[in-house]
Amino acid sequence: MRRLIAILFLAVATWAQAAPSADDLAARLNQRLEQKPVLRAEFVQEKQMAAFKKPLVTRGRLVFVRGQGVLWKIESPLKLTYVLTDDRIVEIGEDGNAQARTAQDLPGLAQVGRVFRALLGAQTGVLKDIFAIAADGTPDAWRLALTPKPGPVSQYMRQIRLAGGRHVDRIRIEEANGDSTTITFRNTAEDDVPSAEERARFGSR
Amino acid sequence: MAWRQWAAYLWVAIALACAAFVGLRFSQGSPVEADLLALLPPTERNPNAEAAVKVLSDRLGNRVLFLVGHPDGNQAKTLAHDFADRLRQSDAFARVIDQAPKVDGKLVAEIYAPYRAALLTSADRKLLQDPVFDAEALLLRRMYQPFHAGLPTDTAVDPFGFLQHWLSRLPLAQTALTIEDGVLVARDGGNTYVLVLAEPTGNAFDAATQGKVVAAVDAAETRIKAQAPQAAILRTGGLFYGHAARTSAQREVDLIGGGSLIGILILLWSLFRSLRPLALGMGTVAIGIACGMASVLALDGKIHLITLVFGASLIGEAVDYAIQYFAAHLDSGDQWNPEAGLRRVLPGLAVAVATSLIGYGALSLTPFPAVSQIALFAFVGLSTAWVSVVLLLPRFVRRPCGRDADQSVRLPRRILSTWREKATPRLVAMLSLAIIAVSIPGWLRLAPDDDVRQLVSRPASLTEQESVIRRLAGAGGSGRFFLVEGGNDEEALQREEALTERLLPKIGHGIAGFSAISDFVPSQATQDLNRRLLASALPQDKVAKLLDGQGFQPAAAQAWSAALADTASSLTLADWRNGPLAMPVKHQMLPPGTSGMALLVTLTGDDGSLDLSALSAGLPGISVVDKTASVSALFAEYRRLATLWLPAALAIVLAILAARYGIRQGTVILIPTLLAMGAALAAYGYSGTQLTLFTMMGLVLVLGVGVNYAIFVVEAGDRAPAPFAGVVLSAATTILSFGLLSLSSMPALHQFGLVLLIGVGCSVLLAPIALTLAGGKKPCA
Repeated sequence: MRRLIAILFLAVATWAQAAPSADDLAARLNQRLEQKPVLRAEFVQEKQMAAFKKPLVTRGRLVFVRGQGVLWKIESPLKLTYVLTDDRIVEIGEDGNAQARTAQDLPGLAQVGRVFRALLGAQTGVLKDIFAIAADGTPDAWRLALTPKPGPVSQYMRQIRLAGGRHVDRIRIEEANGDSTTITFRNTAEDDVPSAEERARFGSR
Repeated sequence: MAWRQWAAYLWVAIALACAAFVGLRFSQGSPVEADLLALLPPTERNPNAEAAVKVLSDRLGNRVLFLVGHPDGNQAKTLAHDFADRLRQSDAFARVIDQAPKVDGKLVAEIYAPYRAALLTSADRKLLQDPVFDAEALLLRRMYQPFHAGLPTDTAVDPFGFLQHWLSRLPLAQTALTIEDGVLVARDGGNTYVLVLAEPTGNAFDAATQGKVVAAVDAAETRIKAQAPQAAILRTGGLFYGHAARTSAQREVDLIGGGSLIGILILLWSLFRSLRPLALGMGTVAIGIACGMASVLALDGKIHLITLVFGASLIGEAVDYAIQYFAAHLDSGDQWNPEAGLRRVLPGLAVAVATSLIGYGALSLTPFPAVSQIALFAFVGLSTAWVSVVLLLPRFVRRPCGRDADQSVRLPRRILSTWREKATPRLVAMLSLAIIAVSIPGWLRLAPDDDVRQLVSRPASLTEQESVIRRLAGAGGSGRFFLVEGGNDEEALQREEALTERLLPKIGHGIAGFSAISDFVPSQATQDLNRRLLASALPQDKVAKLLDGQGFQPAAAQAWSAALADTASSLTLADWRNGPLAMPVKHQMLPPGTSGMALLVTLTGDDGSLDLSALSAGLPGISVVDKTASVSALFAEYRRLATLWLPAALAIVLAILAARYGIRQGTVILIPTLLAMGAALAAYGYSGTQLTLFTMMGLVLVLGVGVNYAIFVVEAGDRAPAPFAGVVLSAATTILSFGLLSLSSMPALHQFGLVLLIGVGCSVLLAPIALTLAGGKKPCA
């Protein structure tokens, strides 16, 4: 799950490697991504879990700032913000209390950070290390299927599917135990500079 | 005289037997020890601590590590596989591992899930004890958080995430590497590195094993580099250090032994111009070396490299006795009588060998296996060479020397006569005072250094590779660790927990982490506390209501009440240590001895800045084991002791000299050596070389060896230049050998060599002082 955000952005960048026939397409998507350093979107996350009587629905906003990291702001059913950077995750509650966990606490965090750097540096080989990637579609309507290679990830995850056009529109994660998560993005907008509040969030690291 | 003949035959027989014994041992596989750790003495009073040191060093010693790197990640993985395959094909390795250890997350969760009500991280324990603990907020975070750390657990079984937190704190992968495509990788400076581990067939310190492994690794590396020029292959392991030490030691044995031999032969030839003294002189040296080696092999079973290198330098000293005898032979001309010749040189030779043996005998008092082996070798080698001269040479040197003595010794005669003319007692006294005056500022600059690393030299290229591997793979450490002892499992675990409580805040401040068994198996007391905390903060009814309110299926509440109700089952060390998770940390649990349980807490990324003793002060059953520091402390202790031996050795040498020459002349004979020792120390001070135990032991040797030349000079007197020429020749051979020794790359031998070179050199140059002050009188005896 924590790889999710990284994968969301990386999928576009790594397409070129996965489907050489779509090289040109991927390169254009890649350039587009590089032009605008800030990306904002609204999200709806729906978790289908056997342990619950009905799906868990979360709504919120997402901000991606190139070279900085990701803000994952849950607005309902509770207010909770996650600041994800290369070397740490900060959880900020409704009361403003921040709780930081570093790469030392979370051994997998470095890997997430590396995936981010791969994105920012357009090192497109990186996702291939973890997933087998299948792609089809056009630059305006594409789909990616990521299947984990044998390893620790494959124990828990069956497949990740992404779909999008100019931006990623939908991510669906299917876990090995049958649970699944679907995240839908809306109103995705690009920007040249992060807002003062966003800068402050990343600056607090 | 028949008994002498029989004694000579017997002696030759003994020498041949020794040589045969040495030859036999070498034919049965090399008995040469290259293990650097074998040089270190046992330092720990606690037998568990010494056992722990051995367990850890065996674990690290008998395996080799590689990082195969390439700018392209996939290429690096392919190359690592190729590299591993080549190693496998070489038959030098019993096992080559390029696959990541398979940590089965599901299995780990299954093992611990039954005990989940007894397992809490210390952070969660604090949270539960908090009076404003908000169970609902915790539950919501768990349900809606977009990321979670470590091994996922089933939300129904672990609704609050306590088990997940606990599992994610398990030190399962004691490495900074990540698993990708089933291999362990690290990224650094644009390169992707893949870890390859290998275990050699046979002992890592065995010469044959080392040769095979290094050849296989070099061949594989060459192939990989040919395939991919950008590839980088880093290696580390005790085997490579052992091999480097062996190779350089062999080079040094060749250099010192061969250099001494050739130099001595040239020197001998220049004086005697005959093959006979050369052959016979070398014969006595060979007997000495054979007997020295045989005694070491018989007593210690193995002979260390350092002994061999030092032994090579002993040639120059052992040949002195023969030289003195041949000098007498040369001096006698037509009047030669082998027995009378022996009688003439015997008293001087006896005193000379006695003082040398005192010097080496003092060395054998040190507790360092390497040094006492050197002492044994020298002691036996010198005494047997001496006996060979006394017993054998009169048998073989029967005919008078055909050479004109005056012709051969023109140069020594000139030196001697110049000295006799110019040197007055007054001048000599002034010279002595001048030497002392010049030395004093040097003495004041002397500073000690007792670091154990003095004993071993490590090639820079290997240590660089090791430090990169250590940084990237996070493996290895400083060699410091904690030993936790308890009367039983429970007591040991409780004591260890008390220690880890103090260690936790230090992570990131001097250490990167630690590995403790109680992180896998908490003590019974902690498990009971955890149960009590959970039952009081999250009782069954409260949790059931909470879970239902958040839309959980009823199964979750049932599982919670079942976990709380089951107070009987707990995780025990006895069960756990036989399970699959114990395998990687088996070495941290010492085999159960007679008394209780001993656990090791190892540190990772220890930069040495933490005061471990202060950290664990006041905790029962905890001891800090730091082999490096213990050995260094022992060095310091013996260096201080050596400063006491030195006067004692002086007194003994003086007593021996007084017995033969009387107290006044005995003192006079000692003066050049004392001045030489002072000059050697001053040279150390001026050059800023640190004073070590080896310097002090070198000084003891300077005393034992340097005084020989004053003895020889006084014995020879001013009767004839030939014996004096013998003295100069003896000194030249000794200085040549020790001078070559000072070129050794082994710090300990280099220090020995340097002290001996300066000390013995000065002793020789100053030896005529004794002649001047003694007034050229014959010994009174």
